[in-house]
Amino acid sequence: MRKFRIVSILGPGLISAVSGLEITNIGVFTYVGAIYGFKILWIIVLASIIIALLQQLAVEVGVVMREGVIVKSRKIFGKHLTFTILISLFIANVVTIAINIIGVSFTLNVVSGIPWYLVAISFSLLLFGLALRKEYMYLERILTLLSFVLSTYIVLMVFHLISSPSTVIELLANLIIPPEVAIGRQYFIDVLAVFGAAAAPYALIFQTSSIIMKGLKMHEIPEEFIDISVGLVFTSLASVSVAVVAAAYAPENTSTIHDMILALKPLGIIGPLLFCVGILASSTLAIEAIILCNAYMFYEYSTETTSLKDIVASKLYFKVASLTILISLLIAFAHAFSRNIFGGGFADLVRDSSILISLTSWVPALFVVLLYWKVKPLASSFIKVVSALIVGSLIVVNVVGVLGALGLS
Amino acid sequence: MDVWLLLRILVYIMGGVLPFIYNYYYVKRKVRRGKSSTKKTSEENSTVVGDFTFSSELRSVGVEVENTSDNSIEPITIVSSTSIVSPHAYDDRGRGNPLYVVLLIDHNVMRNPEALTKIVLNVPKIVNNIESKFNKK
Repeated sequence: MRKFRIVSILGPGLISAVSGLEITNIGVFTYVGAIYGFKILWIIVLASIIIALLQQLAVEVGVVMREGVIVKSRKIFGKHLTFTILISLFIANVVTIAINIIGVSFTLNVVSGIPWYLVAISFSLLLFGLALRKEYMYLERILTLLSFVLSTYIVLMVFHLISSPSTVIELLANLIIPPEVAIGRQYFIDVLAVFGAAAAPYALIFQTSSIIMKGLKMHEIPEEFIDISVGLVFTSLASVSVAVVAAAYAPENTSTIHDMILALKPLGIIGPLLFCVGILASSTLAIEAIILCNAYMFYEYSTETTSLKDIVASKLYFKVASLTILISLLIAFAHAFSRNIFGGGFADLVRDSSILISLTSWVPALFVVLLYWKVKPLASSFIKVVSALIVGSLIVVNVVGVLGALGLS
Repeated sequence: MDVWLLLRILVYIMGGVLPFIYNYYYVKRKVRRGKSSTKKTSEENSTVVGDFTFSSELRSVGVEVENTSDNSIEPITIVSSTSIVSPHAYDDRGRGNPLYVVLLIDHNVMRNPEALTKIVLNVPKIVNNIESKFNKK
């Protein structure tokens, strides 16, 4: 029975972690893996742990306050300040969707030769259709199973470690003891991109609201924390495997989608196919979740209620879904054309967008930490101080990284 | 020892691993403590109720309630509040402190003025009974 229980926890954990690997993560982790090798792995793990810690805090805020982050922020910090969270999240969300649209379009273009802009438009229409269907449980399951093909990265990592056992010790050493890297402007920018790829800012807001909707009780928090821990282990495993596979097989100057697909070259002709299927499925899942989150945020802000059923039935959902897809498509085209004019590959695009996502992620993170300071029965002074320091330092890293990216530092 | 390496390890542990693990155990301990204190309070109350059998005390008052739809619900119950078991009611600060008695009155009794009057009039008798039992203890 115990074995079944472990499988029932670990199985969905692995599936959701792998299906959470969309083009932003794969792009950034492949890029940094190809450049830094194993030396960047501890940053990937650290970023995942920080996100998981923030998720823990979001759960506590949800259980104790019984109000979503947006509703609570509106009451405590006022309308205008809370609106800044919404806007920052909206920007992060549309940029994430735009990258996914570009990623899927370029991948299909590389694999099948269909012009990328045709794929981009068709894919956006498909997304819009799915968003309007509202309930697509069976399709969601199929997509989740399809996106599971991205576990190929984990399989490839295991094969690589088996084929050269000396790398196992190197891998563990780099994971446990942070290795030395020449810190410069580029390193800061890349670290920031890793944080942006690991962070899912919408998930933080959604975490609190889902806790309220589930009606989670105080005594159920440790179980929720176990779920977060399982998610953390698998997310780290999946992310690390992408970087390890890239370090082993991808060309050092990875810049295009084609270079990223090359990381799967040990699989031969199946590699590109698996990449294509996995990216298409996981990106579709991610985009649908983000659209729902966008609509949900504005609904929570305007009505001050936390109910997912109401939002899906509301007119606001249609408006936000169409606006989100339209803006994302426009950004995707703008990005693609600007790259044609100013140069730079897909890796640069993903890295720059991840920096932007990272920059906007810390606004909701800051609000969650501020709300945590008000969670009296469960908040610990140590975590209060540490979480404030973490968010503070991440804001500093963000500012330095963005200045670096703009060539100002 | 390389200071820069120490700093990296410190950031790794203090900035991620330790807070994450600490928060899990901290919340778990808090939640457990909350659970056990709730359990303890309910156990204490049930002991008091068991010792003094309030319901039978009241039954002896002989109040008959008409139109009681559910017979399993007693027409009147005295629920011991924490005051009965907590020291301030009878221990440290003497027996002169008030003994709190909470009456839970069924809505059928509330609609029956005669039964309600009988209960209210019998409250001092019930309280005296409980007090004498405390004194004997």
